[in-house]
Amino acid sequence: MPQTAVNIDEHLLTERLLEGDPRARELAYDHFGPALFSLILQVVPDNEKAGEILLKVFVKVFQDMHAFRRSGDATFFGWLMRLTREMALQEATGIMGASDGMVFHDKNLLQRFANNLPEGKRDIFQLCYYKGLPKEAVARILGLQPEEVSAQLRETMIAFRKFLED
Amino acid sequence: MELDHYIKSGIIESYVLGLASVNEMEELQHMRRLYPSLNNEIMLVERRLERTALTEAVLPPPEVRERIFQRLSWTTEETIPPGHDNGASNYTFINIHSKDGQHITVHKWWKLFFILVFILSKVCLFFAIYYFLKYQQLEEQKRGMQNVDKQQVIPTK
Repeated sequence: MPQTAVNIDEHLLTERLLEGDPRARELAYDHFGPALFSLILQVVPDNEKAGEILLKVFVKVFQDMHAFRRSGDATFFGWLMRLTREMALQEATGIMGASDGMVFHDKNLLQRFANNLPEGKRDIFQLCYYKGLPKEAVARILGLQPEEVSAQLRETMIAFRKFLED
Repeated sequence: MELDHYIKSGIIESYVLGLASVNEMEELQHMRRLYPSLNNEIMLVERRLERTALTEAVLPPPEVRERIFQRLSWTTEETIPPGHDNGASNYTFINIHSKDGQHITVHKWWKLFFILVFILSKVCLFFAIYYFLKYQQLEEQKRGMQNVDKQQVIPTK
């Protein structure tokens, strides 16, 4: 569901969430839920399982909002995004993920970016991002040196910076 | 200049996507303390991703929302310390939560109620059989007595 950009006061929202305000929780879910669900679907392309993961993410977020404060992260969405990917990767263990078949559609920003990468860098990015594999494991899978994987991933991130700026 | 080079190295994007290694994370935290303006750069990248993510959002199944708030309300009830409740929740709920919407959630007193109804129905069944047999026995006795009476009446004729 494409969501129109609604300006919400992030500071006020997080303060209310820290207080456990039920209205703030509903607002946070309605605002960020669909975006995070889309993110989960990239790792676990199954509506039902992705829904379960989304449920776990929000229950965890609402029960321990102080974790956001402790993290020192710059934005609430940035924190949510990393937490969601991390939880989706944990739950995706043993599930056929989007990266298993290496079939990607241009449905969202990251997939569009990945599809435009040269093959080698695309494989590294997909294994690191969608599979959550450490660089050493990616190096073993692709028969490369870990330093080579790190270097290529760094170049990919520079390319991603330019991609975002464009 | 050093900061500019650091920003252009793609470390922020790596961190924002959750791809930074432990060493890179530590380095970034150190740089954030040295150069607070780095936080603005991180914020800019995260805001860009947020805007895109909101426009590319996918509506989750509607029951997910309901289940999240249901679970949170259960947790809130469980965490209320004794003596701090509103006096109306001095009982336990059996939380039956199904995925397919074919089940319902009922209070635990229903279990006791059904057990009592079951026992009562068995007692009634026992008495029904008992009185039926008793009735049959009395009927037979009655018929036997009527036969005796008839036999006693016939010789007088």
